[in-house]
Amino acid sequence: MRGKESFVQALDITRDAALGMPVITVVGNSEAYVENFKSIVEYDCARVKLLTKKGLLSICGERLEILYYDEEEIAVRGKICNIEL
Amino acid sequence: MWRQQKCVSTYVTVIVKSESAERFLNMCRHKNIIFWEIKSNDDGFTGNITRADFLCLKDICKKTKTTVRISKRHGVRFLLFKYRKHYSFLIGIAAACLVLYFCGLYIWDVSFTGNYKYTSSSLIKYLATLQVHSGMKIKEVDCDGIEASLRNEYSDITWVSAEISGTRLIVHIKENDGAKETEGFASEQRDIVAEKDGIVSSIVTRTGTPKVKKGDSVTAGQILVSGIVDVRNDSGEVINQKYTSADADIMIRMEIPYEETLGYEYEYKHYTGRKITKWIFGVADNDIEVGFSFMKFNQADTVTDSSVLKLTDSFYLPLRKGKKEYLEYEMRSQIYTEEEANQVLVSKFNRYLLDLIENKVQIIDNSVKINNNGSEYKMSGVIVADVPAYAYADITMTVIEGNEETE
Repeated sequence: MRGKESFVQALDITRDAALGMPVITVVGNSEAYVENFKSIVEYDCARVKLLTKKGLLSICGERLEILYYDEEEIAVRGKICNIEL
Repeated sequence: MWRQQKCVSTYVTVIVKSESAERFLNMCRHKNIIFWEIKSNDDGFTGNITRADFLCLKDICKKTKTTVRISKRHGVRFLLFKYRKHYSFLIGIAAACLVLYFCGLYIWDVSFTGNYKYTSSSLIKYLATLQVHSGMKIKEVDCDGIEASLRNEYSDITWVSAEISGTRLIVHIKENDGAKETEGFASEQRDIVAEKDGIVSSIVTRTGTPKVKKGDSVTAGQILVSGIVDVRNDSGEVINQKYTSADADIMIRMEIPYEETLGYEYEYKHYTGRKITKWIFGVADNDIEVGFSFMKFNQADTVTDSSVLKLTDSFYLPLRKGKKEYLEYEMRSQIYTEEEANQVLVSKFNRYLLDLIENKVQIIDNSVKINNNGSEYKMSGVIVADVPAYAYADITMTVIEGNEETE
């Protein structure tokens, strides 16, 4: 894995495309978009926990809802308080 | 993607009860079954799913011991199913189809393309005299007749094509681009004669025999280029005459008098700012105004902005909507200052010059001046210009002297 990372670094390829690293986009504190996630580990209105290649990603907040998900991306809407990786 | 599905396809809102909602969602994602707007609740979640995806949930529900219940259906398909036994609903649909069918049998919009000189409203008025108007039956429209009538009525229109597109009658027009009219003399034998008095400033003859040269004074009616071309033998004697269609570019220098007066006092519309807006709804040629106001205007301009309702670009309906604004004004009179009067007169003079230039007149000089004669402003003087003041005339026959002798 380390060898693959250094190979990607040497070729200057973006890591999300080559290694499937998660890409997190947050719009204010109301929407979060996570690309390259593996699965949903936990979901309730206060927390959305996702499994990624870099481990667990936890989005905490209030009145959280999953706006949509597909093979590549998941969108979470609500009052987002913190994001842990 | 899910937004498009929400708008276009039929989808259902479901209540999912599961001990492991996350596992259920992951399995759905693995099978490419998409939920959107998922909201968590005590024993599961609610979300939206398309009808097709909903029918694929059976296996996943069995594996994850999940129950899925529809709480709401969305989309036309469900609506039609719900009202399948309401005969009034079916009758309404049938009636709408019939109305659309009958609307499609008539012309509801007459439009013109390519017309610059003649306005659409004047052409529509002319077509009305031919019994061609909005509201007539499509099968009664004679496109060939319309084309022929327009070509005969308007000499400037060189090409006409009428087509019926849906419920529209579209008339494509090509107007003459401003080239000098030959007025039927194009292929016949003709002379070129002066239309006005002046001095020939340039003459370029293409066909015919020039009778004047640059610098000659000419009077109206004088032959400038004759259509008769002499055929001479080697010794220079005229042995025959050939009749041709004279063709030349001739400019005649002449003085054009100009006079324009402007009174001291003028009236103008002063808009008070008060207006009444009314909505208009029209069926065929009848308009109904909707709106009420306590205000009453003595003098008002009316501004109407209406549009014909249409289903597609070519399927116009006999319905019109828009709004009508009444803008109150009062007439006021004012005295021109000298500067204002100069501006008005100069702008009128410039417009006059532009009109001349558009008619291929070359302006050489002008001695136009503005005078204040105590009762009004007067702009007068003379414009010196090169004018293509020539016309075509029937050829003037002459007898060859040599031929008389031989006979």
